[in-house]
Amino acid sequence: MNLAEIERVRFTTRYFKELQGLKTLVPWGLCLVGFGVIAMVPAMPWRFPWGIAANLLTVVLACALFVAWIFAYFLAAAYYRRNFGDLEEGTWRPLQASTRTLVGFTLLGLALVLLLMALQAVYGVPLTTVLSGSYLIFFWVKTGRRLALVDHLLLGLLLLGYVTPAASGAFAPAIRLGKGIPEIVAGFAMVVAGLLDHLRLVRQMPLPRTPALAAEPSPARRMER
Amino acid sequence: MSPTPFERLANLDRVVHEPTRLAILAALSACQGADFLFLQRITGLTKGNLSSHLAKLEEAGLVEIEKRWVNKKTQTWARLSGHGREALESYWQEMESLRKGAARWRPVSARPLPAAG
Repeated sequence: MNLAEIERVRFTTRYFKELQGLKTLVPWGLCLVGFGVIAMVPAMPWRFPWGIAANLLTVVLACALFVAWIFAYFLAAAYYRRNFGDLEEGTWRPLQASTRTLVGFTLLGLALVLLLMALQAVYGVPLTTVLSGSYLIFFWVKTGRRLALVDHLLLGLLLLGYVTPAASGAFAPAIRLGKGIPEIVAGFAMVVAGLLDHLRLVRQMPLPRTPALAAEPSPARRMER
Repeated sequence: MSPTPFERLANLDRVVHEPTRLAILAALSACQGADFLFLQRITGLTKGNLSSHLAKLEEAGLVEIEKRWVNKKTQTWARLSGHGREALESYWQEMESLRKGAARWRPVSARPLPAAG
């Protein structure tokens, strides 16, 4: 075993809950896709059968989506607990955080809010997509800006890069910011990031039948040497 | 005369220095506590091996083991003790100083032979 192995153990333990993609990012992403689809419903040209109003259908779909999200969250949480075990995270002590970090994050947050306000005022940029992109970039920064997690940075940048030109009409009409399209794009990115996190966790925590670390030799074996 | 880096390496705490136990301690140092299944998955050890290592760590006072009842089943939780945290910290400091020492270390040159005659 080398230092890289120790680093793998520490990293996976430290970010165990964050790497549970099926519990966090995938339900969130599916929810966004659902909201995107729901947002499209009132704009659909066809009539609903049995006289159901489009608004009522929207409410029913939103409720069903919320229930499905809760259900998916708890189902995934049980899956991870049963297959990967559980841990108690270290308690975060705000007093221990350095002043530089706190000031940095406050300034970054203020800059983001101002940028969002400007983008929304000028282009009508959707908040959900910008927040999803920002979260993916924040995740990458929070986990130590690792090359192994660069997919989060790329997806975040792609999302942020998509909204502004799409809002300004630089893209072809099909991928412009029609009703619900930005939410669907953001949701898809979150699902991809969540699935990649899950695969990462599975790879980092091998099944016990293939020992990753050498077991200590038994006393009898030591006597043979 | 101060010991060479290699002599210091030989004097390291064997309980901590053993690779598998070091991995368990490293995992426990990154959280408040972890259950048996998590430690098994993160180290890739079998149940028997992990039990044996945890028992040794508990015996050395580095780890505290706790049994919890969850859904009528016993769950084993392990956490790093105060002594364990200190031992691990001093181990990493010692390793760092050894690494620097080994990079600077030069073998003592042999004494020149006395002149003949």
